Amino acid sequence: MRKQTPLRVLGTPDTLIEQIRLRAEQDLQFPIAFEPLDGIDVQQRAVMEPGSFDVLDHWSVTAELAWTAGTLAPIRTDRIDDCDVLLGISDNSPFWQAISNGKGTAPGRKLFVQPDGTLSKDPTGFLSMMPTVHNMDSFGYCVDQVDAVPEQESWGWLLSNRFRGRIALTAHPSIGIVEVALAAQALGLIKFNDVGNLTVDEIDRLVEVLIDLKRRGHFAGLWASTDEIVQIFEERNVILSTIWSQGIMALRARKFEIRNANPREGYRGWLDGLALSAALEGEQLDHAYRFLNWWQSGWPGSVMARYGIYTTRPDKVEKQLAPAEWAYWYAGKPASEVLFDNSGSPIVRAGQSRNGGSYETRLGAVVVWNTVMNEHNYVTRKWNEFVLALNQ
Amino acid sequence: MPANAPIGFQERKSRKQTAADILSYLVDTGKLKPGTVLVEGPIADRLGMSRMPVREALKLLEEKKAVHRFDGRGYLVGSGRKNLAPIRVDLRNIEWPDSAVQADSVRLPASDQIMAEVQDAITAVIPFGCYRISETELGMSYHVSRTVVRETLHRLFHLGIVEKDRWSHWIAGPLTAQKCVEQYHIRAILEAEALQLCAPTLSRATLRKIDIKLEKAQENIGSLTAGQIADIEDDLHIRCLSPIENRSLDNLIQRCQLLLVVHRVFADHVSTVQHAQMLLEHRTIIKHLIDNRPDDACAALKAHLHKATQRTIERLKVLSVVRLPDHPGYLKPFH
Repeated sequence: MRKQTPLRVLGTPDTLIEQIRLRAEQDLQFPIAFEPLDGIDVQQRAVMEPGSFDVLDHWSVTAELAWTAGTLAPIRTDRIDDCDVLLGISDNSPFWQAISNGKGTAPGRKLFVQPDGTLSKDPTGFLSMMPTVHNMDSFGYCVDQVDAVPEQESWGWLLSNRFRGRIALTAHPSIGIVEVALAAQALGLIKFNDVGNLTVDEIDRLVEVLIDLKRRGHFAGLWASTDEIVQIFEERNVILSTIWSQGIMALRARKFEIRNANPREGYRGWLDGLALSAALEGEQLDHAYRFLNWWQSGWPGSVMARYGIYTTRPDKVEKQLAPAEWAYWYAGKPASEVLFDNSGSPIVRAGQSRNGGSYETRLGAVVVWNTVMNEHNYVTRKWNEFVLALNQ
Repeated sequence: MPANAPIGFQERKSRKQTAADILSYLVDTGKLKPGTVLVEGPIADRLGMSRMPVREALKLLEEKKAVHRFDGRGYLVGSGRKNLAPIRVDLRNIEWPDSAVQADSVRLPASDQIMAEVQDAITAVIPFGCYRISETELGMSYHVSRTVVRETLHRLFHLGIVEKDRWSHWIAGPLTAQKCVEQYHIRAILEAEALQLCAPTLSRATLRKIDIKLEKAQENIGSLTAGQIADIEDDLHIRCLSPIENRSLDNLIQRCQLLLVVHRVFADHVSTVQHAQMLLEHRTIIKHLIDNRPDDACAALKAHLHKATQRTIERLKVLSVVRLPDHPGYLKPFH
């Protein structure tokens, strides 16, 4: 019997989870190879080495860059099961409203491939990526060490002198710049015209503020992965950091009393998706479409829900979760019992409820989406100046 | 130029002209036989020039039917009327008129000799940040005087490639989306005005030739070379505007060439640039000119430059993943 070539999926460890790969292989009956890399490395591979992957599982930002670089093939909507239900365009679902509106380049505005090759939110028969997991992020803080009133949680805390020396930020430029822009705006340091699409002058002023704070020892460090979040809290005495959901769960599994803030200014939203390599053809292309449709089956979404992450087709995810899990993770209700993560560690106490409320409420509270702003290249270079600036 | 004529004794020739004269001399004297394959790189190495003037020289010789394109990389010696089999020779074994080249170089302004290379080096790094140019190190790296360095930098200043900051340092970059928008805006204003002025003087025959070239490019979209694309861009943005008599306007247009940098760096590091939309837009403009509708042609030119702005910004975003390439020591990262 001929040995089948595995379907190569490129992404980060956040979604390329071994448990998901094994189940996909079992359900789909063809081999699948996951290649988890750091987010920046994924972007470089996606843009510069199109032959090195079959399916790209990454941020909407990466799909947009790879689309311009010509390394992706358009996804036929007629080959995606119930594509209209998935996107929720016909019934103007909260998901579609959220991803196609908002400031900056909301990811829905870069979803459909137009006849001239550009991307927009106007529906056509082709997608640049098929949306999957998404979330509304902010920062997390140790409730036992931060004397805080939850109603007053604000992005401004990131730059506040109250927590000087005990704050961490993400190292990723396109995410980090938006988070600190929200913080600077909350403190009244800089007023931005559009936090999702900063101008050169605004970027310069913001980075100047950051470098000044860094030299005064304001930041304890920067992190680039869930492992690094845990490390920075454990080793550098951090009590407040921008964070994503896996980081919250990983810290809670290590007994940190972390609260995921619901900032009064709103959340930073993000959307991931699956995209097809332009080099795909034949049987491998068919396998790729089957993998995409499998992702909408509900089961992968149930795994992601236990990390606190939402997935498209929540109707199918609900069927794969216990009622108590659905009530906590999606409906925003208090947990009726202790809830566990995917490896069986308790992560939610009975009676605890998710900060920010239900899926729909949290979606509606997104103030800015992860974007590729016009000055994306300039932001990346300037952010590196901040990363390299020495603490004094 | 007649056979065996001494070459390189004209006053202040450009490097393009020097390269063209030397190649013509080698063809006329039979040192490069009909069918010989001519490729930019080895010729540039042999002449000690960058590729740009050699590329332009080969285009010049193609127009004079001394060389022609073929189904491969580079050009073949000869007019192309005979179906010649390509002859691949090691160009280093050809006897080149070294003394003439040297004599010619001496007559060139010294800044001409380093201009193209310095321009290439600077434009290759500006998408990656802001750089200060050290006059001393630039002079040392080319063994030229401070006067020559300053003349070179002043010429680059007039092309809009370098600037002086408030401390009088020479600086270049960063190339931002904002800069792209501003430059395209200026180009749309200037080029539309120039096209309006030039339209009555453009011959139908020339325009039809351009249109046929565009049609062929659309048919062969997958195999277009960088040289062919540059030629197509030159047809509209340089040749159609060349009859202009207002030299001041022409000079201003020449100062807006910085934008080409993005496409070059994108092609060097990321991917081949997609040209289908550009070809479509060029054809629309040329067809309006052929049909004697200059107002529509100018409006279409503005629309083309507007779309090109967005394409350039999208490509500039992708450069965020490219690591800073190697660059000469006279370019210092500057914040």
